[in-house]
Amino acid sequence: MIRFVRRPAFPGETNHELVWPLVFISFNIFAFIFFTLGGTSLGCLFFNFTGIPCLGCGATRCARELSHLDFWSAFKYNPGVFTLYLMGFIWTIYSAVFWLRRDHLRLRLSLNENNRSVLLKILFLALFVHWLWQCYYLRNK
Amino acid sequence: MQIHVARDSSSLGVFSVEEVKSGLQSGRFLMTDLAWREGMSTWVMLAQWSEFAGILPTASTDAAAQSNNLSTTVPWEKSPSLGSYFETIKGALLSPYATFASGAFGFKQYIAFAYITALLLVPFSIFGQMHTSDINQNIAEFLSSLDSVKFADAIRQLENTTTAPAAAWLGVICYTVFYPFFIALFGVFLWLGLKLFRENINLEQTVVALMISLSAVNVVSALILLTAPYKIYFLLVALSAIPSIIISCRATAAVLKVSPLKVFGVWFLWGLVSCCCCCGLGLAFGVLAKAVI
Repeated sequence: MIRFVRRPAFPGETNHELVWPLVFISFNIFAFIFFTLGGTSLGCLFFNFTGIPCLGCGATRCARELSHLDFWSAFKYNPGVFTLYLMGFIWTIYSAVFWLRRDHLRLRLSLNENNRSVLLKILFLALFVHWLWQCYYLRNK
Repeated sequence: MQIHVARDSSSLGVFSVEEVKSGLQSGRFLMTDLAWREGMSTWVMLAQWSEFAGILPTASTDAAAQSNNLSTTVPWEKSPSLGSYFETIKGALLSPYATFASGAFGFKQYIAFAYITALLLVPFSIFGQMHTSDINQNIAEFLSSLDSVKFADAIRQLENTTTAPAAAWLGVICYTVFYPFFIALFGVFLWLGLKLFRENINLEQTVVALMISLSAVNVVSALILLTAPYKIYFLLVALSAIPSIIISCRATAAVLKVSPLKVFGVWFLWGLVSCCCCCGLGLAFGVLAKAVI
């Protein structure tokens, strides 16, 4: 069964409670500067030439809507990026609590090899559903 | 109860007692591997577990031999200075495998290294800003010159987005201040991609590898920022794209001790996902086609 455990870090383990919040914050700073500077993407050439969206299509618009705090529109433009952003936000909150409590037990996924393959299948299925949604939404937008 | 096993700062996964026993017999696990299960306060070597006391360990001193290799061949690590910075850059460009044969590759040690690159780029960026009134308009103008209806939407979008000059200057300052951290952000992407290729590499080392390789590429290609007309700029970017990719992948691979093709594969995969690759390649081919025709 896929489940979470709380365990101490082993020597040399990546400090996920430090790395991912920093990535999340850096991404926000990057996005803020990008949109403040009037940055925009050229649009997806793959979509322009084939008419089929790629997995990243709508990501810039999703980020722009997130910066305007319009979460529903952001989700519709790119559910994958939105979900990643949400997970980043939740992990940052958890990490803040972790550091404030000076906890030594870290939250980790407990996966054996069977679980790992199930999780991979779920991930690919989620990506496929995400892409089907993009095909529907971005082509009719 | 499941046992978590780790070796050399990487998690090997979660296994049952029987799996660990058979793993120890077959040599999959070492007695020096660390293990933990629920209820324990810390990680303990498998040799100290009562369940595995009777199992004969497979002799292996590879891990110890690897960790004993503490000498460094990187000039920057021997004595950080401006001279050793350029020596390291030279090594990354010309002989990455000899230069990065061994080293500590700690993030803190390389922050100053990345800032030297950022500061070296400042005069070039300032010159570029002085000759660039609005980057979006320049790109729109360039795309218009390609005479392709495919770019119509992109051109319209760019023309409707204007950049304030003050904001552009703010961009130069922010880029300089946050340079090592932006690289670290992309380092995390590379590290994740390498995990997909089953390469268990230290995150810190991956970030440092990117700091070194991108510094080498940036220092060499800084002169491109001096080319004011955007047509020439794009042409030079397109022409230097392939050498830059080779330099960057070789230097990164040399630090991480992986195949450069894997590094390239990771970036290519990220490119496919984010579509930057499509845009970049599209632009490059567009420019080359225009230049040839």
